[in-house]
Amino acid sequence: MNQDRHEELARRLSAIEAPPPPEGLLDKLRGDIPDEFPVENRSRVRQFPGWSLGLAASIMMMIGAAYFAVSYQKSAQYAIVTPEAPPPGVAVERKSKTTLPAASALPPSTLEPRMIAAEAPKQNEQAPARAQEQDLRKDTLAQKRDEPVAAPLAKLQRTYAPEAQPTAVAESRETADAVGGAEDERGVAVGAVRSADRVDAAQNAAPRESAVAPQQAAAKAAGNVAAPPPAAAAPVPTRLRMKSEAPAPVRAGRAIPTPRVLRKVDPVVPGDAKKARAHGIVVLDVTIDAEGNVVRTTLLKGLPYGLNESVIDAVSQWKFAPTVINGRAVPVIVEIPVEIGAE
Amino acid sequence: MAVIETTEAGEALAMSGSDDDRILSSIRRGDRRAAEELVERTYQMVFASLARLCGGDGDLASDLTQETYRKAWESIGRFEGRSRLSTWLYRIAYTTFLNHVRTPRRVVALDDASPMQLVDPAVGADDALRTAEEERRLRAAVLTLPDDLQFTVTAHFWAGLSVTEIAAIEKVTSVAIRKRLARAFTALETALRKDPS
Repeated sequence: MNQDRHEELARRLSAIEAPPPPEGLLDKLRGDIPDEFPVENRSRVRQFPGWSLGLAASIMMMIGAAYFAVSYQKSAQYAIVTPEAPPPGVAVERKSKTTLPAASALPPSTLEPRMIAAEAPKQNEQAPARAQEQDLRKDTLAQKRDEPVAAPLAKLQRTYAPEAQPTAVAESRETADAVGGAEDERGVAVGAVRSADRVDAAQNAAPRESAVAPQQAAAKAAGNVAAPPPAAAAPVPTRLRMKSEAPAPVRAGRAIPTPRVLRKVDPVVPGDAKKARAHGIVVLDVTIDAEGNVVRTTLLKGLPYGLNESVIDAVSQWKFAPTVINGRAVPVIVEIPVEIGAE
Repeated sequence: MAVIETTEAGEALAMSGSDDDRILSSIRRGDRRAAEELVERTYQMVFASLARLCGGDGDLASDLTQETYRKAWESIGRFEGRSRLSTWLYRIAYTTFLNHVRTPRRVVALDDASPMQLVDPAVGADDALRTAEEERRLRAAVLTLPDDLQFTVTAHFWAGLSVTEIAAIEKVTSVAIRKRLARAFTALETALRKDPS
């Protein structure tokens, strides 16, 4: 029934006739035909073979950029280690008391060549306090710029200073610990902290060093001292090794509780700071491993007169309660302000 | 379902898909002769469908036909070939008609349009008048349909486009077009019942 009505309607619709086109309409339509037909630019571009290649190249570049961005972020999980087995020449020099190179012959760091170069004339000046202050500023800048790569290396290099010669055996052992213990992620940072207290001593020894250097030159002329090993002249080789098992540290904040301090060591106020009655707050970014040990310190806000080194030295000995997330102890990064200064 | 696959206007269009491709590529190369061929093959269908939409007003249908082809030449670079050229032309013609009737400054009293001047001498004057009145009512009912149903009905019955071709340009399935036609018939019946005069 319904079908019949629809068929009737369809028949009536089709039966509506239209008048024939008026004469002259075809000529008008022909006359309206343009001489040129617009072609869509997009169609032209898409027809161009380079369009597809360019599109593919753009996509590949975007993927590549994303890959490098991810790789760069992952590089934060890399730890700096010095070689487990240093070059033979360097190893011999470290174990020898008498052939430790002078500060000027120390291998310059590839990371801070300008810093080392600037230190040489400064050591010749007999103004240790001023040099110390300038060095401290540079340390701060270098830490902010290259942390955690540059600062520990620069401090490690200072352990070779001539001041260390009387205790070369002990120090070379410590240095070897720092170098050989590079497998341990604490190695570099802790070694750097241990050597930090020698920074002042090394700089204070600059006058003596200037006196030692001519002696070594004379001895070298007499052939008593072997020529500086080629490895010593070369930059200290460093390489990056990814921590395969240790998870990346997480920053303590809202979700991650700040770890509780189990053992606290108070920083020692240096004599210069006492004389200057320096007082203030040193802020550190401290990386704590899963066992609660401090493995890395980064200076965020510092003070002069060697207060930074004192605080870093003290905080490096702190012991924290392990931070447990989902039943697993994880390394954390926490910002720690430490008040220090003369009473 | 009552679906008529061809009409007189549709029969005038004997363009196959290969013809479409050949004419389109020639036009894009700037071949004016191909454009003339397209006009010759399609202008009757375009005019007839517009004349039905306009209620038999040949002058208005002629103007709209010219406007339709002007728009077609402007946009032929964007035609992607997904449908037949005739289908694409009818879509332009229908849009041109809608723009015309919806533009306030060019109001057309569709209900007052003169009936088609097609009087069969074989039938009496009363029959001719009755037929003309029925056509007027039916056309008025078609113009009250929603846009999608109106386009589908006019494209199928007045422009002679097949269900498949309409489905291609509307980017729906053929089943959807058939459903549209069924809904349109129901709506037309309701409209004609409300206006028995």
